Amino acid sequence: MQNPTPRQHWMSILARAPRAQLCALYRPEPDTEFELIRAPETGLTQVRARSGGTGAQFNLGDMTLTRCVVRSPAGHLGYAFVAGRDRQQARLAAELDALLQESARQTQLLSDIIEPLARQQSAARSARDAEADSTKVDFFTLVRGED
Amino acid sequence: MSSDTLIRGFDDSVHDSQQCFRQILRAMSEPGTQVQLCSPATPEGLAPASFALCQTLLDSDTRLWLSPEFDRPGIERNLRFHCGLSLTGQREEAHFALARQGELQTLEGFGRGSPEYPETGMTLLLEVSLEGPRSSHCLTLSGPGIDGERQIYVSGLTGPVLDELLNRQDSFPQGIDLMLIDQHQLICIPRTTRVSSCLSTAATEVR
Repeated sequence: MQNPTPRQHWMSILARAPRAQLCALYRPEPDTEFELIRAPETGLTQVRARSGGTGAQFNLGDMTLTRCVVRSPAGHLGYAFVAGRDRQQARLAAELDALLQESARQTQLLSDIIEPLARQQSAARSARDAEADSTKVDFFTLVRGED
Repeated sequence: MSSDTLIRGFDDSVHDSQQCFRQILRAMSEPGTQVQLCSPATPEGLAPASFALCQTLLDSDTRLWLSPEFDRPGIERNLRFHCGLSLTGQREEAHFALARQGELQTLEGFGRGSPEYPETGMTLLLEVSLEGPRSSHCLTLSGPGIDGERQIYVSGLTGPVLDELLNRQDSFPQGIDLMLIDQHQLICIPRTTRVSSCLSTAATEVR
């Protein structure tokens, strides 16, 4: 996907954030009443992939997914789809998605929650890449002196 | 809040739809029995029992035909969101149809199943008024699931629907199943039920 919209960006960050991190960064204000449009529910979804990233599509397998939709007091609909079966995580992510759509709070929330999460996630990703890189084997062949 | 906003569905989709399903099963197996169906909120213009019924019975494998009265953005959006169903404009394709009393001028075109697959016949959800003896039609039901006879009062059935009920063609097991809905109430008249008109309204029913 090229150039995700700002909302796609924060939704993808929220979807990857574990509950402990969400709870640490986000405390719902007591007077904010969210309406549950779709209560958190867990189901299966089929993951599709392309062989080699560009080839023919195939079904990689099924994964567990929890989804939730809430409406904020300002009337914004917040959607969340998270991997696994943590309902609370899905609910928090949906609430944040709804709040982030309010232009008045967006900047604050982006810098307080989304950016720290994004930094953590990219750090974790590069650490994992580095770990994988250390096991990488470079094959090389000696050039035979034929010319 | 505009009329096409999303509203909340069942609080607990698994248990709430199981409870609704139990009620629908009872209404279907004991034709003429009134049961209650509830959903926390209802799209504007739709009866609560209709919305509960749709959330319980419809999913991506069922096609719903909406009558012009119900073919509105608010109802359509909420049904798509909560049931994941597909809507159809073709009567022949519909597994379920939703209409209001007085709207259906003909039942032509709705599927009645085939002799090999009678279960593919259409189920008609009809919003009517199920009031007491003063309403216009008193129907006597008998057949499977009914000990003797049972009487129900319905108003606003159009000629073709009444005709379908009273003069069922001898095409069993093919046919149309009818679900009558009034706010939270549901009464079912499956195709196995024999229906006749009471001799007259009101007067003869006073005991």
